[in-house]
Amino acid sequence: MFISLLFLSCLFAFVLPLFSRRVEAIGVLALTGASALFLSALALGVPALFVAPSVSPDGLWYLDPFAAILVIIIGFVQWTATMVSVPYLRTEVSHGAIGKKRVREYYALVTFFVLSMFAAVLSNNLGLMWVALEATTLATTLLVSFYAKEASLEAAWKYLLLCSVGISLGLLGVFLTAYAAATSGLTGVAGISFANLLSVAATLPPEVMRIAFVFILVGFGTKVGLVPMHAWLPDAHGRTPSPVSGLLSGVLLNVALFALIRYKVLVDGALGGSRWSDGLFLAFGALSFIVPAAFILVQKNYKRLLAYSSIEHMGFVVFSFGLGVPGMIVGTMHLIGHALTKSMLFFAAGNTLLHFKTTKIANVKGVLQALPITGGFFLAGILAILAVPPSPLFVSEFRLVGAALSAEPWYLAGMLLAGAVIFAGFIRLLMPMLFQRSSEQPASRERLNLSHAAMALHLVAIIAFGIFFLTPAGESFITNIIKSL
Amino acid sequence: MMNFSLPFLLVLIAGSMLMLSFVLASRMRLLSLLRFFALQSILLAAYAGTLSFVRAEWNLLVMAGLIVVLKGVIIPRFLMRVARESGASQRLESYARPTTLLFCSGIVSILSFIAAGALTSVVGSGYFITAVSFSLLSVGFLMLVSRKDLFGQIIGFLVMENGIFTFGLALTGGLALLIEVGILFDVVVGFALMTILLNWVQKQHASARTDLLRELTD
Repeated sequence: MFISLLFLSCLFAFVLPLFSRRVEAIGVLALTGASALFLSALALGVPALFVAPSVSPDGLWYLDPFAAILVIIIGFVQWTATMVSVPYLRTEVSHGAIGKKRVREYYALVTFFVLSMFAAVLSNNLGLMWVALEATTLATTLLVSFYAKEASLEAAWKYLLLCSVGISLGLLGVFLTAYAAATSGLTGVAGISFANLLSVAATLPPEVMRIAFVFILVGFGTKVGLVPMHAWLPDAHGRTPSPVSGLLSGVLLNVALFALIRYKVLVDGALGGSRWSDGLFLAFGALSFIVPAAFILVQKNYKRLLAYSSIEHMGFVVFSFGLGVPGMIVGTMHLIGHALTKSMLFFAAGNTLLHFKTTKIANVKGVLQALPITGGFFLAGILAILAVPPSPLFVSEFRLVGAALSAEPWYLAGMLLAGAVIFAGFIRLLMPMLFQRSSEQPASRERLNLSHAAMALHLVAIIAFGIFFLTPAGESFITNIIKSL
Repeated sequence: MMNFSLPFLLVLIAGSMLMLSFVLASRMRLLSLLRFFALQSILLAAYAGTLSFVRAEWNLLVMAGLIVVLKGVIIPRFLMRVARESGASQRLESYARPTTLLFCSGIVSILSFIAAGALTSVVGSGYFITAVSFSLLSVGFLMLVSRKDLFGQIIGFLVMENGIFTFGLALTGGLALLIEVGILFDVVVGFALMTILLNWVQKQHASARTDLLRELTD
């Protein structure tokens, strides 16, 4: 029932901003819709965290604690992203960077994007999940090209083409899975329903599932941003309006990863063990963690720097999921921590961009002087993403070292080295940006607005999860989520 | 009299689609490229239609109809109209000469035939059909990377999609109709977005060449 409520709220949030033509009023309406959406995501997600997986009566939706935690994350971040969007768009309209008409278009696209993410996470039908994942690309293409400048067009073109090609290969994997199901006696719609496939997983033909999973890994891995299929990611995440960058980096990558993990469970069932898929996850994960380090160290653009950092963190999560149950606990903690932290950083980067009108690190000086509040959150976010306690990423990265040290020492050594480079890159590039004094006095003091409230909410959640994950209750909470997979 | 059975017809159609993909890879004029693409899509629809008789699955006929309308008529015509209205050049550009492209498509096609051999040993689908769909996929990908202009890249992507549809049809005889329609819908919306972006690029640069889009690199 709450699933219908969730989709109704999406519709509500979609329609509501269409009722006004004034930028201010549209903002209020969009925020009302986003708040309703967040509440219904909570109503659906929170009870489902503590119960066994269930299929909706019509067989279309599948809700387990892992999906529930993603529903809550999507709901929360779309709410705060809308909070940030209101002042962001107001400023952009008053600067004349975008026309008034485009504000409604923006909210409509964001809501459609959020709706497709919910559908991808909740769908029981793997075909529908594919359709929804492709829909997330389609919905966000026009947001990437929102400023219609040359570089945004280039980013949007790369994004659309690479992600569509990638996910088309994923479709081959979906077809092969349906074929595998047909040989196990499930035909038609039953053959691509996740719950059914899960129940016959052990009888699925292993060779077919193996080939299917390779296609899925390449296809959906493109959307996760795994190296070497990541070429579109820094461009797209760097060029999008910042609140949407937060949603793309913090949430969408996790949704794609979620789809990948659904198939991993199936192929593991068919092969009677997870060794084969773990090997792939470890290799792709470590590669995606290590390669971005070089780009982070010499980056010239702070939004691209954050985007490369997202690739690296997704690599971390994928790597953890290749380490069996202890690793999956680490991965889930990291996923939650990264979602909250990276979106907050993009929100702070958005305010910085609005004030300094450039994303070049060299041209931004003294963020803390000009924008003391945003700068403070920016600093807190940087420390959190670098896993300084009490960040949840501290817990997960510390635990990963424990889990991987005896199992995968070589991978771990490479990753720790890359981690040091990333740490150095962040400090080297972003600290001067924040702390350097610029000679010119700021024209006016930064005024509090909704975006600061959103960042404050993120910071509270980050610290709360950071402390919660250190306690035994936090560990058992995450273990419960993992056990349902 | 020749024994003209339905499965033979399937092979014939698939073979013609493969030949057309070679033509597509090496054509440099937009109009002829679009005509050959439309023809290939109509062949794909004919394939789906024939398959529906072979397997007595009538929802494939709906798919066939949708493919004819969308990929055979609407998409090529629409692209032609965009090209005409934006004043794009009929002459397309590529990183290699047509003969080189033809040679390369031959190579990737042979590789696909080898790869399909490995797959058909585990999957029960017909070898030739699988090989053809993999070839379409790789020739489409070749177009995607070898073309310098956005038109050529869009058509390359659509050829890839044709390959994937051939494979899906051969393997499963279609998923549920609703899902198939959803997939087709995604393809069409993706195409529409690509055309929108193409139009903007064309307006800003008076050209649809991709080497104008070279700003974002690390």
